[in-house]
Amino acid sequence: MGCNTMNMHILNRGLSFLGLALLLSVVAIAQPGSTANLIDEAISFAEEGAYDNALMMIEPHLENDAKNDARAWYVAGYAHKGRYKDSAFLHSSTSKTASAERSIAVIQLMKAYELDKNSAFPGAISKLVEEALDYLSKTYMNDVVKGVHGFQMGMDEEVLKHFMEFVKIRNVLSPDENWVREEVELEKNLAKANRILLESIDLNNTSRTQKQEALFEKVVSHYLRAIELDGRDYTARYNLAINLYNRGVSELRSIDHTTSMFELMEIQDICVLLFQEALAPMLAAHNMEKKRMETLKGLMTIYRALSQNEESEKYKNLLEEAIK
Amino acid sequence: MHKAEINNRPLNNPVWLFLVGVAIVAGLGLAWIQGDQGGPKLDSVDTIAITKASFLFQFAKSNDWPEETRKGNFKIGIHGNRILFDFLVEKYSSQTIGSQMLEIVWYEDAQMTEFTHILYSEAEGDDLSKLIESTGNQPVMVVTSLNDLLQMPKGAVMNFLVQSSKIRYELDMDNAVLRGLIVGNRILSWAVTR
Repeated sequence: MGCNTMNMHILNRGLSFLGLALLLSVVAIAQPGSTANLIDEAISFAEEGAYDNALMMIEPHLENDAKNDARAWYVAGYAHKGRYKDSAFLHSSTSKTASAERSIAVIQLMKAYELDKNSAFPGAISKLVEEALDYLSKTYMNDVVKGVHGFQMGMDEEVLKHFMEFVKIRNVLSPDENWVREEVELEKNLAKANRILLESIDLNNTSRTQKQEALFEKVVSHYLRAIELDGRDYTARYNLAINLYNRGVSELRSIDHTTSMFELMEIQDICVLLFQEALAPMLAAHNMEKKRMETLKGLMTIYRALSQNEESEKYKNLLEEAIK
Repeated sequence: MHKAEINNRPLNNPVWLFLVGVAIVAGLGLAWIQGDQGGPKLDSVDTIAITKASFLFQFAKSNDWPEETRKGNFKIGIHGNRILFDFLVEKYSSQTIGSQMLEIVWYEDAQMTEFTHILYSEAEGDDLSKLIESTGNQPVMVVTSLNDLLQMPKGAVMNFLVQSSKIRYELDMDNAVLRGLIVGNRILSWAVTR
């Protein structure tokens, strides 16, 4: 830690004590039964970890006499944050109870932040609120990471919701931060997670077709969203094209001795449609990076599958040149 | 207000242990944002060969050959496309056509050296003529793959061609009858004309 940083730290501590002194002075003159006194009692409960008692004391006043009191909202948010931590420790951070507690904590802390910013002494408790919100934002990001790593079918919305909550908090704490790049990466990671599940589906499972369709739709929609967010993302386009193409090939691979003539024709129609759909994102990826060998190989392969042999040859030659 | 913070709680509190875990994960939280590593690999299997193999199996299943050819194995001969041959062996060689075991035969040269019920070739010009000539008038379903000609190659019974990027086939019914082959209704109904 540098000398200047150390000085800033000491200064901040000093300011925190000054803020505390101001807050305590309000408490000191509080009359029994007054709002300020109730808040003080709630603080004591919260300090002891008696979050239920703190909330029972403070929450009925949040819509009435304490509705414009930043301290009251902070204590309530703090207590819900405490209940979230307890619940997350006992169960999981994404359990129903923990999620509900965390959501309420964020709402109440944000309200405290807003009130404090507009108060006569702005900043008195903002630092405490910022710390609490920063902590909660990290728990949301943790849940995003855990959600992607331990992904199971249908978790997409939950993971995205956690990311959006993370961004919502970060936008309050640091409005200048931009999280679009991370959202693009999240969409691509979700596409990948769905694709891995799709590839692992047991072929003997009777409900496989429906599951495969649902997972494949998710793969495509996540890549499309990534492209929508970032018009210059090469990987999303390339991977979208590969997924579309491979899906067509897997349809073809499903043909066996039990396939009827009608089914064969139908499968071929589906395949060609998927190959044609794969062409546009692959061409777009190629236009972004003309020398990339995987796109040249991709175009050679897709055109060949569409029986457009001249085009296929063209990209084969370009690929051979690139290899040299 | 500051005293409401949880900092004074004992360090052996299990909640704190949980928080340490959260902090570690949070620190690593953004490490996953490293792009879509390990993306999908292009399945570079020859899709045209798969499609043609599927059609050839349908031809074997849905047409009829004269009685005298219903002994021994049902043979599909392949000339000029090793991938198609390998795929047929891998996918269909354990199947039966009626009561006959399916056998896939590879022809290195443009000549039918043993009888096959179906003979597929990608030869053109003289090679193709030589191959067709080697089948004589036997009940052989000669299948070619010539897209550029104005009409079906002479002597072929079936010919693969591309229509709207899809593999389709045309049929020379007269030639089939001449060779004693009975074309099934399903095969007949899906045949295309130019």
